[in-house]
Amino acid sequence: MRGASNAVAVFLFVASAASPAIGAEREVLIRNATVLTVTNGVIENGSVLVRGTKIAAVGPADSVRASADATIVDAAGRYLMPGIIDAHSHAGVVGSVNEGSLANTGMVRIMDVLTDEDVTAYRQLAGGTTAANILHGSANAIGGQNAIVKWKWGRPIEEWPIPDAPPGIKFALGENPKSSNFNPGGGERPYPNTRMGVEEVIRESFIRGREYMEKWERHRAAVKRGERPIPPKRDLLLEEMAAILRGEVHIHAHCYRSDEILMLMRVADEMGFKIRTFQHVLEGYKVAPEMAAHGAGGSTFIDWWGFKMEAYDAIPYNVALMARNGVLTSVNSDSDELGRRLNQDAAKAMKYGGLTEDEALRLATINPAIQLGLDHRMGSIEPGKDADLVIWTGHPLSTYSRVETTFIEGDVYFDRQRDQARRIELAAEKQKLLDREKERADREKAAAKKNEKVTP
Amino acid sequence: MRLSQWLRVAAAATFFVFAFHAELSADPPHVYALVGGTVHPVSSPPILNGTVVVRNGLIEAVGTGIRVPADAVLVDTTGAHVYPALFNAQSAVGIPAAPKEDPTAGKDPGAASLAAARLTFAPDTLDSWRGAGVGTLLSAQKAGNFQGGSVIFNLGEGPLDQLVLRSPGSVQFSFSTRSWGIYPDSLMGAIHLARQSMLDAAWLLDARASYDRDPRGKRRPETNPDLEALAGVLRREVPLVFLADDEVRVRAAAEIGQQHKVRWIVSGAAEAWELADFLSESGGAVLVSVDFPRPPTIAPEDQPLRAVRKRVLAPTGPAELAKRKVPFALVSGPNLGAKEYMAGIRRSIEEGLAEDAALRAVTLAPAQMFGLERQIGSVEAGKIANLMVTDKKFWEREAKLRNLFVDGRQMRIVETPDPAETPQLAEGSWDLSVRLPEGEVAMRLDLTQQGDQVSGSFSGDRGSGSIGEGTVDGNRIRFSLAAQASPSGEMSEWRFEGTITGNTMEGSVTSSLGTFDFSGRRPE
Repeated sequence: MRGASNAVAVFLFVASAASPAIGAEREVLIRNATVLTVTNGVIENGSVLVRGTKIAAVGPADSVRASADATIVDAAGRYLMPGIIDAHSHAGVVGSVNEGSLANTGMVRIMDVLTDEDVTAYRQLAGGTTAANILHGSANAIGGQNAIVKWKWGRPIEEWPIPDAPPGIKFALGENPKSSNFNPGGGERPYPNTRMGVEEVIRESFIRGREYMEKWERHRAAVKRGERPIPPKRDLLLEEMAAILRGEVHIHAHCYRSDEILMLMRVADEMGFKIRTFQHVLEGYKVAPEMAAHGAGGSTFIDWWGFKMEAYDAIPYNVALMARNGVLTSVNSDSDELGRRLNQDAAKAMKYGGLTEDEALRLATINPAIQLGLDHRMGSIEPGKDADLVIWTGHPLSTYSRVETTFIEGDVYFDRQRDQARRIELAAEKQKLLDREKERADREKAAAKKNEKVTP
Repeated sequence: MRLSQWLRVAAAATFFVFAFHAELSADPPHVYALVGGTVHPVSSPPILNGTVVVRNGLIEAVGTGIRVPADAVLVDTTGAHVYPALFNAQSAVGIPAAPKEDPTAGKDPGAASLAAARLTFAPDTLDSWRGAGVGTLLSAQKAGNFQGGSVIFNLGEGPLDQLVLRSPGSVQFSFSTRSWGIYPDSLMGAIHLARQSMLDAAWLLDARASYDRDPRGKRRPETNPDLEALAGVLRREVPLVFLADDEVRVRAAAEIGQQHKVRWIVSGAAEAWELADFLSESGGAVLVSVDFPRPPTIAPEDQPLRAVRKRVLAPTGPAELAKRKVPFALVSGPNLGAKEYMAGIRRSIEEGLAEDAALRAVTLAPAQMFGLERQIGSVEAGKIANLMVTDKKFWEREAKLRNLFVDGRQMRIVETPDPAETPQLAEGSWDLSVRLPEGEVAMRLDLTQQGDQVSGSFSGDRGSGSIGEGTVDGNRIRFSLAAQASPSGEMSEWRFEGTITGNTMEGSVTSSLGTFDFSGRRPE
């Protein structure tokens, strides 16, 4: 396994998806698979019909009919599951994932700095991951605005964001925003330096946001009265705070300790907003009922532990304990590497805490879809949802299974056989380019020499 | 009015103009007739056996069968080519390196700061550009985000204020980042800075107008020279030039440019051709630096295909932009010398750019981008007489510059040895100082040179280690090393690119935190 994954790491950088044919109402029939629908159980020897970009029908193989010109994919002996959704990723960001200079950088946008050229996207597809919540880092109490994308490797970046995804923002609590483990710039540690300070940054940001809203309300009222006042200055940071206060933005809050989790929910109640998810949330098991009461989800690592002081109380049972206490729970990667094997982290929740197969699958599919407000289009195999589908060689909760084909909206974005063939083509392309470069350099040298002789 | 009366009035007027001019410059009228060559007006097809008459700094007449004025100095251009002198619209010629004690060193000079106020020239700097047929340069500062107003000037003789065509010629913005903890320390932060600053400037413009209409009952808007310097951009008087090499930066530039309906240009723009369709739809113009990427020192097997593709295909970019009808100009960028600039133009042609498109890209196209198309960029009557005469097509390797006219004056052509082709020795010890935003960082290098290969070791403020696979080419040195990017300790590759002149070395270094200037010398 290890050798194989290294080979993938070495070679995949030269591979790219063949541009998928986009036909409005083309049909693809994936038949004879063990279909893990996630929301409606398992269909042995089942078929899924894709029409256009959506799932059109799901059922036992003999009950799903396709038109005569449908593309048939025979998946006998294979497993079919919905694409994995990573609720916490930083892949594809150009430059730093942190605007780490200010305590509140809610104005910066991950979407501004996403590239379609980072091969990490393709590697996610090779692990069955089709969508991700790309977040700002955790250097400050309020970070930047997220981007929720599908890994449409080979397509231009403007096609990657999910158009109806609710906007979100990163918050962060604890050691990172109070600069415990590093010292930016080498100078004095900037404010805040304590958990109290982090709390105050957040509270103050919303007080300022509220004032900003009031300022604009006063202005609009004056205009209504027929006055012509100078409008207030637009402030993109405070506009974001105002959008949060209006309930338009999902907050994904990086956290570890139970006391800070409770703190943020108190501040949210006080200021009048909601926390959509707590991220990492390694002590979520201590305050799961309170999180459930607030309506906050938990998105966590299954077994990362002890990597800093605030991560010492982590237990691998966290997932199961949160899930069984009413918290909508997902596993996430926070890592380009882990992002392509989230199926294995989901499986570990069966060992630690005894989740069922179905509950484990939900951790990486429908649950993150709900957390991101996208379960109407992703997270399960149901008619009407996006055809984001993954064919596995075996049950995806087995560490011996691997991905054969990954579809996004009915198009093939990863295929293991095609990948093998492309490697040869791409190696040839690279050699041709290098030869061209060398020939050019040689020609240039020869011409320069000749010229020297002409004009001594 | 009878004809004789007309003539008398005309003569009086001419006398007045001459007298006035003479009083200003105490100069004869400098009348030249360039006769017999192939004239390339750029704005119209080439003229065989053409004549160009130059008088008083301006082009008086262009065409065939034009009578040579009696007072003209005859310049025989038989067998030669007459072009507009070139306009290199992105350089740092004359921009001094920020001195140590300069409070703006490494910081944002702000939009209000003008390059014209800072230009200084080493005596032979302009000679090398004139030697390449360049008649007009745009020079811009290169520190910070809003880098201030550029200056566009003719390469004539005399004080700068008589050479300036426009100042500011543009406002320059770079998406560069500061070291961690200093805003903006990320690319997304730099994009926000541009976005918010433009909003602020637009607000200030409106607020000022509203206040001036009727100040009663209104709070007085702030005074902010940096924001006010963007007023010209917002009024479309001056273009906003974004230094933007990659797709992410080009897209950010397009968004901001379009939102405020300003004249926007992306410069550097190594990857712009990959976005040609996007650019032609969004109305952007491109200054393509012919400082094309060179092969890195790492082994081919460690280079991703994507990087190889970008590097090897970059010189095909101008041809691609021409094909997709994106307005573009070819520029040297801040680091190339005059001969390298010419070599880059030649390379663009060798990689598929049509000759006439290349000529346009160094004359009329940049003139149009900067709103100077009525003054320079083509050989037309009434325009400024910036002309070059070459014995072969100007871009050909063996071409020689015969004459150069700037503002109608014939410039002395001085053969300057190309420093880039003068081999320099890297061998030995060097004390380097890297100008980071948080201060100077010192580094000692011990280099060993074998042919054009350089290796060795380094030690200093940010750690120590070995230097591998460096190269020396003429006076250019390139090497990389692994050192701490910031005092907090995360490691980064530092890629040095510079030039050696005897016992000094200077250039720029790129680490994970951005690109910074460095200078060094051999220890005494």
